[in-house]
Amino acid sequence: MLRKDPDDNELIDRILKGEVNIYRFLINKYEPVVLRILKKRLPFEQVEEVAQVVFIKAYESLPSYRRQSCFKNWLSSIAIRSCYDFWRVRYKKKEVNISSIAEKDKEWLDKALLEQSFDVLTKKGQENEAREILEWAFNKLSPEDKIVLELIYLEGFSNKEASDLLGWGIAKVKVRSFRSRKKLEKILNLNY
Amino acid sequence: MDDFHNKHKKMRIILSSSFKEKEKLKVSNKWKDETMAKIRDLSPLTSVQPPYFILEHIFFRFTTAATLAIIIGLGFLESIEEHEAYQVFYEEPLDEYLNGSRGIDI
Repeated sequence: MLRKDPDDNELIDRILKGEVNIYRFLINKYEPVVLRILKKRLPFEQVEEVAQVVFIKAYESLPSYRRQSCFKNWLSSIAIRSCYDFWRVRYKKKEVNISSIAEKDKEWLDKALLEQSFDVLTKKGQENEAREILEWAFNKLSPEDKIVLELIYLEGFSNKEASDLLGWGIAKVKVRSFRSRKKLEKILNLNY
Repeated sequence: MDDFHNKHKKMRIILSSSFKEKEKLKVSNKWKDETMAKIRDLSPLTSVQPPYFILEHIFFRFTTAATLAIIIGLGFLESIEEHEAYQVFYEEPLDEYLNGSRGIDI
């Protein structure tokens, strides 16, 4: 029998003792966190498949989970690394679609950049053209550049936080972040 | 230069907003059942905690208390030493043996 809001460590202990079905509570509890990470980083049709991979990886790694860290952060880190692995495989197989940007999107961007209000710019970002430009520009980057830019440039994480989530050293994150930003500027300003 | 930064800032707002917008897409719940089915098929988990794990946990939990105990203990030992020295030199200033001796002639 479970309490209404059981503690994560209590659930993990019971799973480790063989009560596998208890894992469903962890899936239900952290599904929003994991899906939020995946939906932003992956093609929509791949989200469910990678979500399965994330929760299976987490389950298999449960015996090595150190209770000092927060389970949510630990799971987020697995989710982010799974996205990175996904893109690495895709790049290796050369399955990344690097199409050219459509003429209408270029015009849309030029027009959008004339806006002065923060709210208008945010609303512009919700339009289809913005999504196409984002995908086009980020598909031109390597998986390393992509994952670092998403965390730091788009989501506003600090170098330290990104380093913890990716399991990379801070120096590597800083260098990668600087270089990938330059690449993105080049793609967005010069390459169309 | 300002124009460049302004343009860059605007670009960032648009892209961040577009990135965040993708969160709103709806996903079905079917994958959760499939995940649980795959997990049930896996072999049972075995705990692979290192042998020092329990001791390590205790060590970190009691670090502060242990440090305080050491500091207090050291202070206490020092006071005992001082007390013994006090006893030797002040409470019993004249050792009977020394009192009876004539000293060493140089």
